[in-house]
Amino acid sequence: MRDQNAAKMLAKVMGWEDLEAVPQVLPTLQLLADFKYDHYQRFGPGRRFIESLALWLHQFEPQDRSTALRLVLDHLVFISDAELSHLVRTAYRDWIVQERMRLVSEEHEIPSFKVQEIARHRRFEQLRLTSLYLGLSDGARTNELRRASDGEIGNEQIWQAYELGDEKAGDMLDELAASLQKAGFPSDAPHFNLIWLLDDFSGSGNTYIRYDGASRRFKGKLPKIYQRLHQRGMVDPSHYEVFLMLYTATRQAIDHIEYWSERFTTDHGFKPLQVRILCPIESEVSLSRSSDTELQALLANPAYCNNSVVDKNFLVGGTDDAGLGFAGCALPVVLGHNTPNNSVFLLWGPEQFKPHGLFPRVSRHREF
Amino acid sequence: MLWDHYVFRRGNAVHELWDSLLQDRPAKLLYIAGRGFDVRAQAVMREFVAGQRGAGRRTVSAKLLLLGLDGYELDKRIQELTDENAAALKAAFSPLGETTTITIETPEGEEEASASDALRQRVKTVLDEMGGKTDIILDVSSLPRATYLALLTNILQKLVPNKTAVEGGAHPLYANGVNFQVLVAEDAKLDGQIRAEDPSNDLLNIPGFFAAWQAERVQDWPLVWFPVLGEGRVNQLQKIAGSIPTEAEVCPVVPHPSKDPRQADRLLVEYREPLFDSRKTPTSNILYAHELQPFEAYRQLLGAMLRYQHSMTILGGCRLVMTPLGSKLITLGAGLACFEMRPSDLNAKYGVAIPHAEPRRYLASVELLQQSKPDVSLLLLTGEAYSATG
Repeated sequence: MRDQNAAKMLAKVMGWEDLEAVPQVLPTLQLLADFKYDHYQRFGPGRRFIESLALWLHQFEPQDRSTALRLVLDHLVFISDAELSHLVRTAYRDWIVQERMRLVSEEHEIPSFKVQEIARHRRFEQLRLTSLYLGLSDGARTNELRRASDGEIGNEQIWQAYELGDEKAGDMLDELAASLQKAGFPSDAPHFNLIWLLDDFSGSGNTYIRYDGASRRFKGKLPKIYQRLHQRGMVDPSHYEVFLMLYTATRQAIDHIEYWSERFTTDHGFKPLQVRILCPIESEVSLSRSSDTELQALLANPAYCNNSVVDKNFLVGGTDDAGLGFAGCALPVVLGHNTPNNSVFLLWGPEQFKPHGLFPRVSRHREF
Repeated sequence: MLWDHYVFRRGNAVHELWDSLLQDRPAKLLYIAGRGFDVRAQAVMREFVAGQRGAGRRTVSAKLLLLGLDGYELDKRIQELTDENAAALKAAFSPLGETTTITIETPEGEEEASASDALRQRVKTVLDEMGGKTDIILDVSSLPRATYLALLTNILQKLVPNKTAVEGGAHPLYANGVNFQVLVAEDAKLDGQIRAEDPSNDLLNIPGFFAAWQAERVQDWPLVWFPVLGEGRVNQLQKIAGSIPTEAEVCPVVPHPSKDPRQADRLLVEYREPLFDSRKTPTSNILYAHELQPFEAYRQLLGAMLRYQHSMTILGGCRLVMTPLGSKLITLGAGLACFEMRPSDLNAKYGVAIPHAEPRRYLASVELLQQSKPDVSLLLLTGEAYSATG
């Protein structure tokens, strides 16, 4: 749809007949749409933001539309694809290399500020080769990370999934032996020393680790990975470090993962998990902290939510009310490729539902 | 890239670095700070002096250079705070050594020439003090942007005259072992509330950079403008925008990641009229720089400048213009990129300019300044860190 028609649609839905509000709001929305919102990957072909916004606002009672628009203008945190790519580009130089330098400094008692001496140390190169990178979901952008390393991460060190079969694990260890041999570090039983687990976002931390009281077992991706790393001889149990690198995550998720992973690794005698977050989203961002009573009423209104989306996966978050999203996180967050279900339903509600979200989500697994 | 490996510390890690860098070594210190109103400089200095008086530290000589900053309109309470701050800084440094206050008078009359001259003289006075020093510390906490950018780049130029690595030779940043560190006390919330007003109509050029970027002989070179956006500085940007041709390539730089995840969006809205409505700048030109990681900002900006310089060689040359209006840490990163990009060959077919519209008035809350609890950051730019041997 042409910009002009979309703008007219928005003005009509909002009742801006005197057109006084238009110059105050529309140019801002159009600029941000061009910068970010139009690029939401789940919009259908040809669909653009202003048109979607008008259709979304049209679902609300007229007296609620200005509150809904405020949710967008004052609270929406849209992390675009370009911003996520930028985070990935910072990951290698400013995080991964820095950890390798710290390790060499500690192992060889070189002052940590002597960066040239550390970077030229043989151990620095050896640790480069014995680093393993595993993607925890299709948002992990393992290819982008490899490219950002300027060839310092080899194809054989990176895998886009954390489920390593026997054959793949064996191949990776064979490749590691070959690259160590070539670099002058021969080893009969090579192991990876630094394990980097990569993902784009966590809202609650539940999918990474949680304690199931009924079975008295830890569940989630992290316990599985630790078990497999040990079972398949990928690491030397006495000498390895595991990092969880999330490009962005909420404070709630960070606290949850740190707390439960410490319990898990202590219980099982594993090395502690080190959590590294490139772009933390602090608790103040959550809409549950907003003092806007009209916005709170809008979010609590059952007419503006559809609990058909609640399924067994959603229930893992400890709530059966979809309004505030998975685990009641109440986030105003949209990622350029998909909206997390930790955000409020009004942002992520799937397109086929009434009401639907402003940036409808496509589930990674069947949620309903 | 000079700072492929770098030393950057925040918070408690700053003290750990000082302990390691200055331990059991005879130090000849030159500490440079502003005689400004920003009391955050006191916090930084007290921490440094306390460390340097600790066990295992050997101060052979130490001098504090306090740079007087005349020519600004400040209200009476802020002026009083400036005097109190100067006295407190001098007292805090006294256990280590003497203080010299440098004041460059700005004569009445031709404003641009005098402001640029004053800045050049201030820089020269500082450079003249560097001889024989083992450690140079530049605290930018209470210095105006143009002054600390000029000091950063010119001190580096003196320490690193040749930026090209030589096979088998020392790394260029080793700089004969002189350790140059930059300290910053930042409080993003407070920085957003210090209002810089009434920018000068006449642009100030950072000494050492391409002053002739508007000259007739380079008018055929395309111009690429990198405005690094910061809160509340649209008026400064507009002064500079008046000298940027409408056909210039514009690459706005926004902070990301930032403590406020909506900061980049807010800045685009704030600068909508001068950058996007008037100039039709494509949003695909927008660059990101980490708000709290100056070396990441350096890498982003240097990469973008190199790309444009390379492409525009086909057109005979280019003018690269940087306008850093963002946080202090991003501004330092931009300064490092400009330093590295500055051509050493006078016949080079490109130039780097940093024109600045200096505000003539600052407005700040004395209470907020006094209550601020800033985060201290440190960039170690040259010296032993860059020696390849133990």
